[in-house]
Amino acid sequence: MFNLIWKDILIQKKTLAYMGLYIILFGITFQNITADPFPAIAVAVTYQMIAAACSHEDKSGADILWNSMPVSREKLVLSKYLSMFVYTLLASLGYMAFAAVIHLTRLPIKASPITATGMMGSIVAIALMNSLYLPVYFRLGFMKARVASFFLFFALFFGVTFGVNVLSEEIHSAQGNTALRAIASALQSASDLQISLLLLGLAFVFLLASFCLSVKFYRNREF
Amino acid sequence: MDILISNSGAQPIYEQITDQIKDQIMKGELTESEPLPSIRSLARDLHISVITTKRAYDELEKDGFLVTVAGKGSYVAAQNKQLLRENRIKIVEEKLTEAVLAAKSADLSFAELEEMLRFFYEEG
Amino acid sequence: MENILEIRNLKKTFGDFTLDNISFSLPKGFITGFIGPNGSGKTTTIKLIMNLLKKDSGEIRIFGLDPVRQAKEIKNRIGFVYDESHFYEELTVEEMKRIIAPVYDQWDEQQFQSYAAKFDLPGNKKTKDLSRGMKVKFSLAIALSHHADLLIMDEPTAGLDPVVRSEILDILYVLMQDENKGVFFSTHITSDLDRIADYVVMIYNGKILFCTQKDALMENHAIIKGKASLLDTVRSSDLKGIRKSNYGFEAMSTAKETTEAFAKAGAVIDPPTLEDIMLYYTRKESSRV
Repeated sequence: MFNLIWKDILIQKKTLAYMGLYIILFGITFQNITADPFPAIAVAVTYQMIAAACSHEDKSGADILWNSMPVSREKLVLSKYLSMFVYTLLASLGYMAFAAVIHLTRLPIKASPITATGMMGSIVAIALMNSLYLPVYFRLGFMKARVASFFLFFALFFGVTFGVNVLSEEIHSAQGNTALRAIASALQSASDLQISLLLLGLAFVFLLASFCLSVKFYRNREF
Repeated sequence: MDILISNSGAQPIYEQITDQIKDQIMKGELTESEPLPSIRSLARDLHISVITTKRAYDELEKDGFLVTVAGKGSYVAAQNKQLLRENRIKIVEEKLTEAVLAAKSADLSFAELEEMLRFFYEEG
Repeated sequence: MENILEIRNLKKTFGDFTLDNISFSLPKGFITGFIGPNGSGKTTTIKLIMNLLKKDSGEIRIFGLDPVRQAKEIKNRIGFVYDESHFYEELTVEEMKRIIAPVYDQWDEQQFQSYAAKFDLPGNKKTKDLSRGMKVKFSLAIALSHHADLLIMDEPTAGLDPVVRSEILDILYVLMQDENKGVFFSTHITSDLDRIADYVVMIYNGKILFCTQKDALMENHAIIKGKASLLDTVRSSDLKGIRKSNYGFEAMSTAKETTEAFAKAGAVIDPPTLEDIMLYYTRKESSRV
């Protein structure tokens, strides 16, 4: 398994460099749009890396290689899901480095540190997004999935940023939606731990369902 | 052991092998109980297929020129010297018959043929 | 004699091509050539064997096992060299090897290093910078470094110069020293198989034309050239690919008796190569008179 995940990193050495630029670019452009740019960055970077990995697989036709070897299709699918977390980790490290540099050099750029909510939000968004993308990729292959994911990406990307902001306002302002505020107060009385667990549970359920679907699709693929 | 294969197609490869090995055995270049290369190593060295060398060895075994010991390999069979001599004499008879026919069709007399025979025997 | 590979009534249809109930076996300890013109179904057959395509019906048995249920066990024992190498372009030879090696139970690093040295594989070169010959050698090195019992090769020598082709064949000759291994060599460059193949299977338009020992095949076939009139006087039912011209006819005889009959009648007889056999079996009969 490790070799498959390592492979996903190795094949996109170039992408890693671009991601560095991504983080800087997004970090700078997003500083006034939202208080916490990290989730959007994390989602964007992770998605880009997943797409780049899938694109390289497609370009090389490596599916044929792996499926001629004693690696089960389940394992190949699982590795892509696990790699996703590795990308998020890399995105986080990259962002932390970016923020650290900003603070050290005292550049006039707002680079808020990663918050727990931010990280939660990122993971949930990433899980949701890839729960949708990966089954499409495993079923249709990279080229066709690209079209579908184009719309997926924008929808989720703006959806997340917008949604987080809207939710924030709705919950914190006095004129906000009562139902949401009710949920919000319920959640507020719930401990942070409980909320985290709830969100993670949701993300996990999504991923699990997506994984099962991906395995089913990939098992039936012909090359 | 020298084996030279011609690809001209005139003679099947397995036959070339059996002929050459038989020849070397009869001439004494390959001695009794001498080990022969395995069919696989022979195939590799001659760049031919294993089935071909196997067929050659099977033919040689059938004709009593080699024996294969399971797990050990193939060895030159003990040759019945009398039988060998008889075989060689048979070849001489065959060739003499050919020569006689050729001589007759060239209108040579027996005396002329005898003269030629003496000449070649003394020279060679 | 055990069969390393058994195919029975295998059928696969896609688009306008059908692999039509093909059957053949591969015995252990020998090299079996798989010949046929492009588009005959060679690659499709191999993909079905490797479970890259799903069969419509029929049976495949590798090492006596079911390739769908016991895929991992089987693939551990199969080495493959395909027409395209499917390596990741940006990875080096060394990096590629490092991600592939852990996949095989019996990966033998020492064996790989010895092949790498023999082939002069440049560990630091990106796979996209390798010549075609180098890519094939790399694939071969991997295929032979995990104690595989069956080597499947799909057009491995296409596009290679004679020196590299000869190197690859030399490796096969050495491999065949082990009577427990088998090689399945699919190609339309039949000259590579003329000497080394023990068995030959020919496929054309999705159908198996024959599956025999190569020596027997070569002995029973001959190229006949003779006067056109002979076609009427000598038994011609066993002739294939007849071509007539102003200078006579040429055809391939598929039976010894027919060959002898034509020889007696004064026709020119030539021994065939596998390429000739493939040609005469697949080209249309014609007359250009």
